[in-house]
Order: sequence, then C-alpha cells, then structure tokens
Amino acid sequence: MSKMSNKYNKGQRMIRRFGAIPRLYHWVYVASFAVLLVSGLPKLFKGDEIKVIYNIFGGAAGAHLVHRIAAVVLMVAFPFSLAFDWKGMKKWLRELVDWRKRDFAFISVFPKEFFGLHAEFPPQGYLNGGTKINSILQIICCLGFSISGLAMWFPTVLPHELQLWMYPMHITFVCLSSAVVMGHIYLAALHPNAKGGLQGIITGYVPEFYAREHHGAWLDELIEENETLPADKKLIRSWDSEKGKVV
Amino acid sequence: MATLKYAKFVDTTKCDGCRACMVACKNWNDLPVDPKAFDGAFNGYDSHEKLTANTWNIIKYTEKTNNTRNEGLDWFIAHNSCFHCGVAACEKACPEGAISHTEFGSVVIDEEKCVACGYCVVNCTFDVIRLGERTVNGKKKKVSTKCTLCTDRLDNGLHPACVTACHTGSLEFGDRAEMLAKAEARLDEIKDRYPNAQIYNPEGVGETTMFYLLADKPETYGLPVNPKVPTSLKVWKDYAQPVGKLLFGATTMAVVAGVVSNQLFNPRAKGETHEGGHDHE
Repeated sequence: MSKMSNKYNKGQRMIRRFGAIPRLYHWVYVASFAVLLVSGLPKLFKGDEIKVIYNIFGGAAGAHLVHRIAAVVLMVAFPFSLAFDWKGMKKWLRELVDWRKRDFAFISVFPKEFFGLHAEFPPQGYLNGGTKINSILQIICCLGFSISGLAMWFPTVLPHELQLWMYPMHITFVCLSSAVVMGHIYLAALHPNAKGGLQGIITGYVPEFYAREHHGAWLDELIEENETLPADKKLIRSWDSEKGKVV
Repeated sequence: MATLKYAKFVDTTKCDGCRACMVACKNWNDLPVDPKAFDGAFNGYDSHEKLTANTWNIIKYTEKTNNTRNEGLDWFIAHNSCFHCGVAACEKACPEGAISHTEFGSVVIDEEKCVACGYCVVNCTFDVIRLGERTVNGKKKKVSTKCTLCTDRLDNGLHPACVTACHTGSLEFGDRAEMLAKAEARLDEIKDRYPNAQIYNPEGVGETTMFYLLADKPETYGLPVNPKVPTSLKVWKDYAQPVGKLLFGATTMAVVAGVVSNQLFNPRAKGETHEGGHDHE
C-alpha cells in the first residue's frame, strides 16, 4: 500500500476524508453485499453451471444460511454505524439531500468523465453529483432488497397478495444495486481519474490534488475549518515518504 | 403451457366422503400419519384443515342449506389435492428447474434439484405445496412436496392410487376428452337438483389435469372463483428478472467501453499524473 500510495502522495498534503466508522461501514457493506450476491446468484439462473456455486457453501442449504447471515450483517451495519458515529453518518445523509447547481453541472458532464473525455465541472462539495446518486440509489436498493428479503425469509407475515410482490421486488433491487456497484467500482477504483482516491476509503486520507480536483469546494471549506482546530485534531496532515504513511 | 392429454375427473356429486382416497395415497406414497387432534378450529368433520407435507389429499366437507330444494341441509364433499395446472405457477416460480410437467399432465417435483426455497409454496395458485423433510440419496433434506398424481403408477399403466381406491366412481382417470365429455353429461343429469353445478377447470391456469364437477359454486368448496397465475409471478420472471440481468449486463458493457475509451482518450490512463508529467514510478 505504501509504495502505491507514494506514487500519488509524495509531496502532497493529506486530507482527512472519511472517519473510521464510515470506512468500516463501507467495507462491511462491501463484504456482506459480495457474499449475498454470490450466495444468491444460483437463484437467478437455471443452468447447472451456475448451480456449482452452491458447492462453495456446502450445498443449497448452506448457501441459504450464509445468505441470511450476510443479510443480517448488512442490515445491522447501518444502525450500528448511526449509533457509533452519528455525526459522520449524519454528514453523509445530509449531503444526499443537499442538491446544488454544481451537482447538476457535474451530472451533465458525467458521461464525458465516464468515458475519459475532457470534462469541465465546477468545484464539488464533500460528495459530487455522481457520488450522491450512487449513495441515494444504493440506499433505496438496500431498503428495497432488505424489506423484500425479510419478507421472503418470513413468508407468512405479510398478507399473501403483498407477499407475492416481494419476489419481483427483491430481484429488481438486487439487479439495480449490482449495476450501481459495478459502476461505483469502476469510477472509484478503476477509472484513471480516480487515481489516489481509493485510499480515502481505506486509510481515511486522500492526497490534496485528488481532493482539489474532485471535491474542490469541500476542500476550501475544510482548509478553513482546519485553521481553527487544535494540533492533534488537524484534518490536513503530511505524507511521510520514508515511512509510507500519513503523519 | 403443457398440452393436457389426460385428466383426473373428480365428480363431487358421487363422493360419500369415505376417505379411502386419503388412505390409498398415504399407502402408495409411503406418507407417515399426520396426527391431528380435534381442535374445533374448522368445521369439525375434516380430518385436516389443509394439505400438509405428509397428507397430499384430503376430503373437505361443507354443510350448507340447499335453498333451491328447500329440503334442509346438504353436504358438499370434495376430494382436494394438487390440480396439476396446465400453466403451473409453482413450475414458473421454481429457480432450480426442479418442477416440471410429465407426459400425463402431472406436475412433479425433482427432490434432488429442490433446495426448499419455498417460492413454489408461496406462489401456488391453490395453496397445495408444502415443505417437508425427506430422505434424498440417503441424506435427510427439506424439499417441496405435493401430490404427484401417482406418476410412478401412471408410468406402469396403473391409475393413481386415489382413483383405484374410490368405490363410488367419484374419482376417474383417463383420456382428457373422454373425461370432459363425461363431466358434461353428468352436469346435465344433476342440473335440476343442483342448479349452481358447474365444471371447474379454470382457464386462468391453463386448465387443470385434475378438474371438478362441482355441485355448487366454487366458493362453497373454498375454491378460488377465478384462479390464475399470479401477475406478480409474471412480472418477476418475465420482466424483472430478464430486465435486471440486462441492466447488469449493460452496466458491465459500459464499464468495459469506459476502460477502452479511457485508454484511447484519457492521458492519465497512459501514466500521466495530475501534474501533467509522468508517474514517478
């Protein structure tokens, strides 16, 4: 990690982007989502080739059990994160309902950005228009597949007519969220313009050039806020190339 | 939709409620006893309120005033089991391909393929399928269970066990056209006595291999008036699932196109850094 990071971080000020709980929540969500997707995948296709996946879990019953355990992890992770980092989570949720001109401006040039063409957009906030859509869609999908999934787990709780609709609902939200995840992985980790940014969700810090380019307006606010903070709580740190870490 | 060539015809006007069909079913299919104490929860005559994993057919008794004859009470008795629908919701709902139609029009469950997800249980139009424990390949596992129309007997030129056991001729099995003609003829015979009598062979589920001649309206027997394959099931399997897969596929394609496009047009993909120069390492 440090060698990789040196490539982007050398000579950069390091900007605090994500707290520990949001990062933990992100990765718990990633892990449980991946397990849910793999253990649920055999239900999407009838071919024998795909049913081989059941073997990973020691059979279909094992896959169902693992699916349910991962589902519980995914579902409880959110209230846990709220409880342990109300401030950080609130900041994230607040951003999602705060739509400004700059967000729409970002979305209008998003296709250019996606395909690597030169895209100009005004300085963005803590989240840009694209990341806001990513979060909003993921939250809606998460609610959708969690509610329908619980109904499928306990099929006699809801009135029968309503219960019948939980199955198409589950698959719709699963497919939509998978598509969103696919786009998110690409834009956040694989896209050439995302270089230097991935470490934000791992270490909590991003190099200044990344923050400037992707979240300029937020960076300006953060620089201002940083001035007022005591030394041990500074949000802007330095990169020690020798040690390969934020100091 | 399966082409139905055979039929199990249930003439409810001939049923005397002896329950021999229930016993024969248990006997042939090796189904254990399903003890049920009298609990007064239903009409007090039925042995079981509903079908279970070990009781694949039951006799339902309905006592009702027959106002048309003004002769007091009448019994409406019906043998109840899987209908073996022409368009079977259970078959459509099954994600494992474990449920299929046989040449006899019977809908059967492959216990080896079944993973007990229960989608068929919820989606069955007639609330017939149940999850139960079975020994499959020497191992105990949960599977979906229901009447097989004794397909193993049909394969060997025999009639379903319930049909063979029926002593009044209420249950018959044979060529579909012949059975339907019999039902029509019988309907003519009983119309005077039972003006609400009708043949119950619902088109909403592509007709059924087991069909009824009812002496009264379907509601009297607790049967749905217009049974059909659930709309939600069609939305699920014919739209949500294929469109969802397409959406995921389209996103994947867009990402692949994005990677290629970035290689072609984005200078950073070629190793240039934010400062416009080249990467240090």
